[in-house]
Amino acid sequence: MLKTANLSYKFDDKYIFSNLSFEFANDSVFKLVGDNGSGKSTLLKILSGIYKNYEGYLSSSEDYLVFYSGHKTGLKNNLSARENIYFDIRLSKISHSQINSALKQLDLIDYSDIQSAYLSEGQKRKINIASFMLSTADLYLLDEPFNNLDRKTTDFLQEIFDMKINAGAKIIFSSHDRSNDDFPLIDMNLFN
Amino acid sequence: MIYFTKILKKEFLIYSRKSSSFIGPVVFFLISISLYPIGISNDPDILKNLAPGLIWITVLLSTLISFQNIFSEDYEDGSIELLLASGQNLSLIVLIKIFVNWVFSCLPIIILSVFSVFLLYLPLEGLKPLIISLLIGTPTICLFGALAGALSLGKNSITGPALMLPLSLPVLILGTQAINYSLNDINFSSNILLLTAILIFLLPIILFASVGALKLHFN
Repeated sequence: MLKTANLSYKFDDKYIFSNLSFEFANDSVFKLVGDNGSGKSTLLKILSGIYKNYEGYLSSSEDYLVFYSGHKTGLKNNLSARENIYFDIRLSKISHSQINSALKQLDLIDYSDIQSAYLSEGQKRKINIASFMLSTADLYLLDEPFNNLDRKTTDFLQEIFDMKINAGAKIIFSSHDRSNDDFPLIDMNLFN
Repeated sequence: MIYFTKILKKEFLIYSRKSSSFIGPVVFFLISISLYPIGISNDPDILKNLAPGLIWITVLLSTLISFQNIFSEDYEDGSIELLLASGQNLSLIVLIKIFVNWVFSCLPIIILSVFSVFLLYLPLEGLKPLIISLLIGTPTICLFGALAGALSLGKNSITGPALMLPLSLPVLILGTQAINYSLNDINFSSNILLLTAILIFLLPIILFASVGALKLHFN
């Protein structure tokens, strides 16, 4: 699907990472690990098309729909959780019953009509997880999706990962956690 | 198409709940217009002569307040990143944002400018060119505001107006002149046509430039 060759990114005359050659092909999930500033978020932004001023090559074998989720939530403070999901530009036509179902599963249904400005950071992250859950994209680029989540939500997010993989999607996500799970690792420290 | 309809509805909803986006410019306009007879003169002859320029300048300054917000919130909350990642036509999205901003920040002022005619003793024959010139001129000012807003993202709040005000001068001159022509029984249609031509000519250029300016912040 996605292939990089000698991919490098420079900021203020300093390379954040360089000569990254990788093929995101055989596996369904890829985990980007590395120290702070090693370029995990930058790589995700390049893959999603936000950053274009990279050096090297980035190619894809087919057209695919991308779902990107960065550090910033993209939520509007004066819209409710329900409205933020309904108007999420990453989601194509979506029904209110689908939104209700996602909100219920994330224990957000009681807060669904409250403006996001009044929700906690954790609840805001859950709104983004609901969007991720409802998306039908082919490629998911997620920047530290497991950060600051409670145990229950972490397990639920893991279940959504499995659901997406079974549906044939690919997930590339970043994490500080180097714990031994089944995901193929891409260590960004190796390219600094 | 569903995608763009969704963005249009979302923008309308956001602006309708953000009362400062339309109340601020309206209050500023009303206060300024009511202060002119007190601060300058209450002589109808003096006010009548100054009215076209005063109204246009006040409209221009009132709308300045709202232009900073066209992209700044989207930049801060990460929405622009999502738009860039979506691969959709950004020019059309910027056009929607400018249109909604115009509806909420300029349209109420245009409607209220009818009352300024009475406060500043502008003869009634000046009302028609005032409304027409504002209806055609303010979208161009919104375009300049969007470009200034896109270029000055993350910078101090004076950068946007400093970029926008000089660009708006031709619109200000043509708009004021149209009202003055009408008061002196001169055909003002050439000014209106020029304002229309400026809008049509600048629309694609400024949309393209604004998208470029937004992308610049991520590269």
